[in-house]
This record gives sequence, structure tokens and C-alpha cells, in this order.
Amino acid sequence: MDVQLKRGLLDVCVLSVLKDGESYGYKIIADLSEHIVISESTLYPILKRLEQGKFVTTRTAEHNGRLRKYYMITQKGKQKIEEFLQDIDEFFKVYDFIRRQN
Amino acid sequence: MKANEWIEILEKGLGPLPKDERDGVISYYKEMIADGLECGADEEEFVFTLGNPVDVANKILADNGEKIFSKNDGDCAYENADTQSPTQNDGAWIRGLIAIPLYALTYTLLIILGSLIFAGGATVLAGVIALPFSIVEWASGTVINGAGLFGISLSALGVGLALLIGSIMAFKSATKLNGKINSWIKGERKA
Repeated sequence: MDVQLKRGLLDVCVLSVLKDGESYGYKIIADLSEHIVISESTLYPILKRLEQGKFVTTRTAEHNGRLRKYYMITQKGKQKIEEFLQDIDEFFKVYDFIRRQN
Repeated sequence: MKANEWIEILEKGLGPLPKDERDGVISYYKEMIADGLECGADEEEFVFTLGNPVDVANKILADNGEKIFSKNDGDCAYENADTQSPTQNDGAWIRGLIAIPLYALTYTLLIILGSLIFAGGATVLAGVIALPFSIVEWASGTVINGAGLFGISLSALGVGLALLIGSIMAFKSATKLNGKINSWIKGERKA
């Protein structure tokens, strides 16, 4: 899959996971792994980007005597999912057009 | 490889990053490993799936470089001054050395063409000066002498003009050639 396309797609995938409730790195990968391939090193820049763009907020909580960073979706993050879905609708119209010609 | 080793190599690789940035990456991977082990993964196996820590560090450094430059909102996310090939101008002195005979050639050419321009100008001048004399001579009765001189001065005018225009054009080309040699030495692409 095209790198840029996959990057944008993964951003929304992560947001979509967080829409179900706060989560942390390892679990995000586990939840996504049945739908799309994502590695630990791929997730890191995504989470960082989403945090910097204020699409998610974070909190650090203790878990089994160590710290774990939890990610929560913001209103802006939810809006990004909506925008993505609208874009995809338009995308599919173009897709249908292209398919018709082939 | 044990988790500690993996983290240690990663941390070394992230050396150029600011400390808080580096700490963020390290705690991310430490948490990831701890969660993996907690879910029953084998330490060495899990660390293996994280990939080579040197590669992981390099990728983060590259991403970070991209971020710094995308602040400019330009299209040149990766056009960092550091990424420009430092070897670009390495051949300059060799080119300079090769260019010495080339320069000798073009400067000689310029001098020759300069003299030709002068000669052309002088010939034209001679023709122009001789022309009225020939007419006077012709009119005063010495027709053969006059006609001969008239012919000679016209020829001188023509030859001189041709020489003048031809050598000026050649001089211009030679100057351009010199400029090309100059930019070639400096290692510019459009030499």
C-alpha cells in the first residue's frame, strides 16, 4: 500500500481504537493487528503526531509497579474520523469512475 | 538479545535527540516490552520482533529531522543542508587542473580574435579613406589608376567588414566558452 495513504489510514485506525475508550501502546497494536499490520516502531510516530496535533490526550498511570501511558481521543480526534469517512465517500465515487473505465 | 541490551543500544542511537524526546522513546519501548512480557511473550523473541534497535533509532532520527523541516511548511522536508552531498565539490581542484590548458586555449583564441577585430577595423578604415581618393583620381582623368584604387578600396571595405563581424561573433562565442569552463570548475551542473 502507498506509504502516504497507509500513514493517513493508520492515524484514523488508531483514533478509531481510542474511540472505544482509552488505551495504551501494546493494546492498540493488539486491537489493530487483526485489521491492519502495524509494528511498534510504526505506532510510535503516529501516537506522537496525534498527541502533538491534539487529536489525543495522554495520562500516565501506574500499572503493576511501573508506569503506563494511556491515550484518550479528543473532540478534534473524533472530528478527524468524521472527516476521514467523508473523504473516503468521495474517494469511492472516484474509485467507481476509475473502475468503470478499466 | 535481552531487553536491557536492546534498550541500551536504542538509547545510544538516539544520542542526537533532545533529552525529553529521547526519554519519551525509551519509556515507550520499555512499556511495550513490559506489556509484551506480561502477556506471556518470550523476552528475546519479543525484542527480536521490535527490530534492530539501531534501525529503530535511525528511523526516529529521520522522522525527527523531517519534523523540524516541515515547520517551514515547505515542500522540502528532507532538503537539509546536511543531506546535500559533501562530495559535490570534491572534484573542483582536478577540474581546475584540467582547465589550465583549456584556459590557455580560450585566452589565446580571445587574443587572436581581438587582433582580428582590430585588423578588420583597420581594413574597413583603409577602404573608407581610400574610396574618396580613388574617386578624385578617377574624376581627374587617370581612369585606370582611379578604377583600380576604387576596386581595391571597395574590396578592403568588404573584407574588413566580414573580418570585423566574423571575429566579433567568434569573440563572443569564445567568451561564452570561457564562462562555461568557469562554471564547470566550480562544479555547477549546467556547465
